[in-house]
Amino acid sequence: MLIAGVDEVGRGPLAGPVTAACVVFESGYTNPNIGDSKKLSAKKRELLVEVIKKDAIAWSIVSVGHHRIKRHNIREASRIAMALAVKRIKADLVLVDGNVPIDISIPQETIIGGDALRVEIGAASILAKVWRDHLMNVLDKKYPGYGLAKHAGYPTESHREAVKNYGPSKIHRVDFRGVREYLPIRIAV
Amino acid sequence: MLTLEESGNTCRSESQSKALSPGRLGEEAATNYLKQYGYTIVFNNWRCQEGELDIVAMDRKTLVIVEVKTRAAEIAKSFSPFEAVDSKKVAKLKRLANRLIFIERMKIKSHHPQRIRFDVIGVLYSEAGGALSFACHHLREAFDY
Repeated sequence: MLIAGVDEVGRGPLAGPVTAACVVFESGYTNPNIGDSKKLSAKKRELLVEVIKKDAIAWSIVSVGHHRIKRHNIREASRIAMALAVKRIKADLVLVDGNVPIDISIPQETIIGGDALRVEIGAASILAKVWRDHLMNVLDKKYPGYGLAKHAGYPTESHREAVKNYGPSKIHRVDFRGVREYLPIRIAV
Repeated sequence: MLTLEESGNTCRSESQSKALSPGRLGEEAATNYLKQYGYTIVFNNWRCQEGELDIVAMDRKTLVIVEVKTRAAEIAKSFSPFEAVDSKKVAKLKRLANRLIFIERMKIKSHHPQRIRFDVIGVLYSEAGGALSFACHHLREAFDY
């Protein structure tokens, strides 16, 4: 039986996309090193990415950007990202991190705190986290001054300060508190 | 709530129009790369109802279907662009190649191909001071016809 795990990262940040990953393992696969992505060092995560890609039957990563986050809302956008990631793979059962089911046709099971409990979800959280961190490094070069490479868009003191001083960039989530207050005022014609 | 298909469209900001997106620029870089190695470009972005082939070229007597995958060098450290060409993509490329050979048979015949080959070019881009630089990695005969 093929079991997939799906998880998302980047719900909290003020800028950049929300990224979901899905990883499929043969049932019974274990690896004690794979766990909650937040508890591992960046270096360790990057090494584990290679292990996961080698051991997984299939994997996928999908990002949903600031446009769709604004159009729906961050909760829906992250569900969309997870569903799109699942659609790219084949599995008999999907384990979803959290307590909200997603729009897929495959049988699913939601697990609260799943990234620490199930290897499939933990692996997905690592892939998503590493991808998004790399992506934020790229975006930092394109939109310099906010320190996106350092905080990956999360609302740190320095990030809030930068948004306040320079105003939001194109990739900031304009519907988020901490960003929307500093939007340029539009004059209706 | 919107269906996934509806929300599946990618959005682009005004500044990143299709013509200037890293993807398009990467295809351009790959085209120049192939020309440099003596390939004759037959089609760029050949389109039909089913989809698009990035580059169709002649390598002497071989018709080469090229898939270009552009990715930021930063991301490619952990996720190679070649990984993005999965079984689904391979199946699609083969389907498109069959269509191409049928629809464009006259033009292709004029180049007298003796065999066909599928290549993937991974283009890595990095940004420095607002300018993009590209590096092409060529995987010949990425999969069999």
